[in-house]
Amino acid sequence: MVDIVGFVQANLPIFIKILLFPGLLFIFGFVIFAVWYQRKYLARIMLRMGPVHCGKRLGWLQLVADAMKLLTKELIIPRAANKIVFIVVTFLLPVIPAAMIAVIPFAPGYAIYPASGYSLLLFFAISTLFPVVGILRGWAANNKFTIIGAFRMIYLDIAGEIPVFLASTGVMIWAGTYDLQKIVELQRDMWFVFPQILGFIVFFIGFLGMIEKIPFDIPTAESELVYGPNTEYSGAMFLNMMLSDYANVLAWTLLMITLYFGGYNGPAIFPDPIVNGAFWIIVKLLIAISIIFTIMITYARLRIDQAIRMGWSYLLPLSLLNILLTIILKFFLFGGVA
Amino acid sequence: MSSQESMERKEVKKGLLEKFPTPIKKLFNWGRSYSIWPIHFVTGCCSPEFMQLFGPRYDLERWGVLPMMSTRQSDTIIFVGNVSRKMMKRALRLYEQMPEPKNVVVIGACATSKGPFPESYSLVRVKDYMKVDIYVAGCPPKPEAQAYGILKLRKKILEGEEG
Repeated sequence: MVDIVGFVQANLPIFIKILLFPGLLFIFGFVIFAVWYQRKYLARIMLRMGPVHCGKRLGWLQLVADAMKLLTKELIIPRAANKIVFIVVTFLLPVIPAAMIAVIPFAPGYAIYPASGYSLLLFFAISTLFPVVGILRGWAANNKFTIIGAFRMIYLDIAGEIPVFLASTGVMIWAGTYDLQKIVELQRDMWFVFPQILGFIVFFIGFLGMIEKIPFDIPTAESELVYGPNTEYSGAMFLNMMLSDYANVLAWTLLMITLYFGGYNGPAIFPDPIVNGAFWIIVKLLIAISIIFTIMITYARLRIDQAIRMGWSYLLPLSLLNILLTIILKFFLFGGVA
Repeated sequence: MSSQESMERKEVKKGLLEKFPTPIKKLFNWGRSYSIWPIHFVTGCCSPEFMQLFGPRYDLERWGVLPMMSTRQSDTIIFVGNVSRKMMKRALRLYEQMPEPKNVVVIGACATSKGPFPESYSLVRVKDYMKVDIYVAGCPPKPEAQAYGILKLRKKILEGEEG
């Protein structure tokens, strides 16, 4: 007989991490909040109200109503689709961003899996799985819009991910470590956005490509491809797709905050951070998604060739230049100490 | 398309919702009533009035009405303007792509009853082809009237009277 209660009691901290704070509940909570916040924020910029009547005043129950409706909708599997892959992908896709979040430190020593000092490399290793599963989602539906959308997603991810990885190589060299925990601790005096400003610009533009929001929402281009790779998904399967998209935004935003904006540290103007924990990371998260949504409503969509040219001919050389500048700055001017 | 075929198409498959007991059905009806995601089949000149519904003044997103791109995720089809025999084939195809439970809203005199073209050889009435939940009268109906029609549909879903 397996002693389940004893097993849970012995591993209580890790269960709390996985189920409550940086794990399941936090991701679900963030996705529900982010979709509601996006709808309200975009509506206010367009001089509209956004959801108001569902839930008093602020429309805070809107997403609950949407989820409830999507759960009761009919699930349509197209006759030409590969049924097993079509269904399995919907469960597989939200897992990948959740695994990426597992290596992010939320407080000193508080990450689900610290990866014994190689957490930044592990983050990028897991993130490469997202387009691989993403192309399956387009291919399995066997619809021309989903397949074109999936291929565009691959193009965009390759053009965006290499500059992002090379830009964060600048941070790795500057900090001298792969460990996100140590990178955050080194930013107690000064955020890495200041010495790594060129790297940050490259990272941010590549990051906008990775999360596939409006200046780079090329895979789900509404006016060309109906809804890109998500076209054939209905009901609860569509709910999972939305979950994976917004969890992806969460994972990449958390990485940006951790690398460049001091992670869980407060602003550098306070010598002692006010609340040294998850408070600051959530405050920074809210500011970051507000900036992402403002960019979403301000700019138009780029064409796929423009996005790829931007990635390969501008971001890639700039990120290499950033590595060179970082090496010169660190080893010749500061004598090898960040 | 013969009328015999259209009669067969009227039979609506019973949704998942029918199997649940009443309190749960009421709860899910509440969810559905606040989350009407329409696709619009806009073929006529009621469309300038219809566009206002998602603009600043008559913002229907206050009630959670969100226009969707794909038919697979939407649950209401809104007919705006005259529908010809050829367009009806496309409209039926869109209607069949939508998952159950789904509703139909017809806006304007043309789609309701051929409007000013009663003897036309090519126009059809939507109600001959599918089960319509809400008609909005007018030529063209004002945005207030169209918004009122969609809110009527919301009330109908909430009380479980549609279909």
